[in-house]
Amino acid sequence: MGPAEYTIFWDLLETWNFWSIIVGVFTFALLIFLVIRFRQISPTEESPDKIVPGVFPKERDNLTLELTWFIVPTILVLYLTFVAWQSMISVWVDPYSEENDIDDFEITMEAYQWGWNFYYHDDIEIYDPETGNYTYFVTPEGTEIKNETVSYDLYLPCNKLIKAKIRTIGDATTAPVLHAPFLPEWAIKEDAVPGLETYIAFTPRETGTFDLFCAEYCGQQHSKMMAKVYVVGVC
Amino acid sequence: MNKNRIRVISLMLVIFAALAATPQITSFPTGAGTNGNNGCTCHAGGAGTTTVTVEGLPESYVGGETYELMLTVSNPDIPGADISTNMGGFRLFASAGTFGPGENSTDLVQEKEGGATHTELGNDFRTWNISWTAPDNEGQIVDFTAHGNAVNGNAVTPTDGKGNTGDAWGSFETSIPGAAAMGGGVALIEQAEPFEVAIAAITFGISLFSLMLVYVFYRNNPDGFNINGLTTWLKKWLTTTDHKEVGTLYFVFSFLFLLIGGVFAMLFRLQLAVADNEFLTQDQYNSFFTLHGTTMIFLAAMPMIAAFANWILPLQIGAKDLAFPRINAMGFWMLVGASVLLYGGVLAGEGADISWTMYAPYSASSGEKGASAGTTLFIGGIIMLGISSTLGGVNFIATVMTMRAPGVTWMKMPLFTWSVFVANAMLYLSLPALIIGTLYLFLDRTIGTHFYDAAAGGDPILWAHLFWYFGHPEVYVLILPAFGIVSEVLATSAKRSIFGYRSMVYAMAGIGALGFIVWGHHMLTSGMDPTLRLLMMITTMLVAIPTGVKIFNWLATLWGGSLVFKTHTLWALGFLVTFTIGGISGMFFPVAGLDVHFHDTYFVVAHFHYVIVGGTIFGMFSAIYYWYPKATGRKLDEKLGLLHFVITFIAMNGTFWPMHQLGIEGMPRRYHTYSVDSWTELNTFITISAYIMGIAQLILLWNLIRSYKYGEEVGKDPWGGWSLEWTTESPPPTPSFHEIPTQGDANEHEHESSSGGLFSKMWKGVEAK
Repeated sequence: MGPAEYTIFWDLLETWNFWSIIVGVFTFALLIFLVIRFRQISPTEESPDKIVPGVFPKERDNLTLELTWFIVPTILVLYLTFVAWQSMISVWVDPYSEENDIDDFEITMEAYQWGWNFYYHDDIEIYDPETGNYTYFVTPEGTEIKNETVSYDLYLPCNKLIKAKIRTIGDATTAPVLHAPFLPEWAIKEDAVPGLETYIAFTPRETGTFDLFCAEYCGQQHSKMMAKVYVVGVC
Repeated sequence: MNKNRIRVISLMLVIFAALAATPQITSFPTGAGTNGNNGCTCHAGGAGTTTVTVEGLPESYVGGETYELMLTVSNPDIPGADISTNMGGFRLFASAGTFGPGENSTDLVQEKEGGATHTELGNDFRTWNISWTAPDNEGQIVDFTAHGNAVNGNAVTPTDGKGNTGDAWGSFETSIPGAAAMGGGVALIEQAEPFEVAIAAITFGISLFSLMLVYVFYRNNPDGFNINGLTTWLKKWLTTTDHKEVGTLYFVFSFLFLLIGGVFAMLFRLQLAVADNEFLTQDQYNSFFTLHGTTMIFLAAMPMIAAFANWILPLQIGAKDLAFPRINAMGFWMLVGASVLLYGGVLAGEGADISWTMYAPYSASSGEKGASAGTTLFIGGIIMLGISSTLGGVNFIATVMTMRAPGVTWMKMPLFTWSVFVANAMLYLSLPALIIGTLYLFLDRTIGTHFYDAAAGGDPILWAHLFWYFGHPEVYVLILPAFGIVSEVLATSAKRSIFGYRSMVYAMAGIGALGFIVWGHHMLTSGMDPTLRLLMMITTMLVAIPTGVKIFNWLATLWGGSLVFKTHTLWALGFLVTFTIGGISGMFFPVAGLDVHFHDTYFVVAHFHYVIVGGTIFGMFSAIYYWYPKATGRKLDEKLGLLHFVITFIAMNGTFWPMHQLGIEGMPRRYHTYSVDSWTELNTFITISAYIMGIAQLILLWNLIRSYKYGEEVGKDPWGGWSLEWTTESPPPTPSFHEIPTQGDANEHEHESSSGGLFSKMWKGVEAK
């Protein structure tokens, strides 16, 4: 379970896990050492600071130490910010910019209470080795996936940049509220906001059947607002 | 009655009359219109003479049985015989069970969105056969609603796909009890109505609480016990303005709601224990997690902080009371009123289901698919909570600024006082955003404004910005007092002064300032501008630096000390572990590539429970064991305390640690149930741990009650603390000091020397100017 191995998610998670473990192990080792080493041996031990009720005790500080645990975390945080910054470019890619004008597959995800409509603006063509022709991919319900068709589960071609516009519908039967298509396989989600068009972009690299959840709480049947994603064709 | 009172009462009456008379209008740009009960939206035409009947419903249903129903629409003014097509339509809903087409009606009737309706072919009839399968649970009452439309046969307009005028619709409603609800069958124990369980638990809790009140009154003076004195005694508590007594009220209130919030968590953890569970209905689950979050933050954690701030802050700065004792009491009683409003919906069976973040536009919606009716009360309760917290904030800020005893200068203030001061300053600056936001929401729900409605030019994301501008400082408001408590407890237990006092204060102020510019990390997937996302990402990462400084200062405080392991020490050490884990996992969210996966998954749930339970609540538990002797003159039992700590610490990690894994696997939060079987194992483990953790809190409750009478008696300073609260008696007199004390300073002779760290030097530079 979890996102596909080829997503940027795992690279980032590994980096963050690595530094988390370093920081955690260092902190907890220090804590355990201090708790054991400086525990009270006999109840008569005198306090080195001579605490007296009603008197502000002697201040203790150490410039070198305090600067150390100010500067070292700052360097670590700056480094991690730099790494995180780079991931922004691949996650919040502008799919309509010129450098992304490549072999792509455009769809529109329409969210309503409680379900999804997927509109296709491109065709999925499957090569038929017997006839040597390309034919449209046909869903089990008999819908051909081509420009201007609609389906309730999502069908995607392999190895193409999927550019999905996200919008909501709201009318008298369904309140216009927030939704969010969440595709755990490609570790991506973005809110569907009434009155605003958002988008996501990702590239499937393996065929299979995957989940699509609604991740933004949208009312009674929020947990039923799911769809299947089928990646079809040849990878 | 004097004139003023008459004026106020008449003004109130005018406001109520105006509110009652306000029409339900919607101010769309296209003009005002009225909201009717649009039973059948596919056709124009008003409610008229149409009659709808449903035949074939049993008097009481048997679980799982399928019934054949016949729905008939009739209207003498629009006879069906003259026309052969486009005669009618219907929509049938039931609160439980499933629908399908009836006998010979496969082409004419369909199941749609939980209800039954006609197909396009089915348009040409006035009578339809529908099958309804009853739910398995026989212990409930199922409500049926049917809307039927008599159509006069005219064509569908090509532009909007809706029929022409001249049609008329009508409706039909009935309720069918299950066999068990009639008393005829047996309701299985696992099919108990969760609402009834929750309400029974709350009622039981309140009765127990009332009994306890009478018992406490009796134990106060067993020999001179006289039930007539009860009213006088109760009146004293209801009208008290003494900071210690108001603090006790806050504490009792928060502990009660900590247990109630826990009951909600227990109920929905049972629901989540296995895949595809149906223990709770979706509506129940949704309102339970809403109330769990709101209760724990606003009615348990915040009041518990207020309890210790009330009790200890004036003692620590050597003040006889808070600056505004009456406003203090008013703040508490508004909180009680707010809790009634928040829970009003649940007790009426229509609990708010909008989650504690109350995201618009869902929270502004109403009707069949909108937020439940209790939401309006809930929003009213949140506004009242906001007012209550503002009053508290003003009070603490004013007290710290004006009522410090001689010697208690800004840089000689105990760290707990500092933390409460910074937290309340943050609260005071951030609450207006919440209050404005909820007022807009209230107006949207009640008089039909459209602040959050995109269709009318409103902005749905406005709510998220307003809420998180309050919401993020709010989580620091929760954690800062815990920082203060841990600073006091660790220093006292190690018999040392706190390491780097000044850097601790600056770190707290730094967190307080940074806290206001990080709210966007809650909204990285909301369609916000990428530049703003980048900015929020950087500021969020920076919060780690002052927090790290604090953690290392605590560790350095232990260096060279002689640490005694009292129960409050254990809680403070436990805090260091769990809060550090929560802090580290917080660093995962500002990262774009991780956040678009983790947002709204169980990873978030794991993170904020590590921070709020492992941080705030552990800090508060530490404070309970630390200051209980000051408040009552008796120690809590250390053995029970150790048991309470060990069980809670292990069970807390067992509950929240596996949620990290569920989050990585992509389990979304706020899900009533899940269909992925591989998530069951971890969820079952979480549920078991959660129950252990919940039950362990009863040990604390027992300890609090028992030690009040049988605890070991203590003197002024049982733990060896230095701050002024340890110089007055335990329990303190009223007013809290016989005369205003003067705080000494062990550093006085050193002020002229050049020793000390960077912060002392900087501070001296400021003072010299």
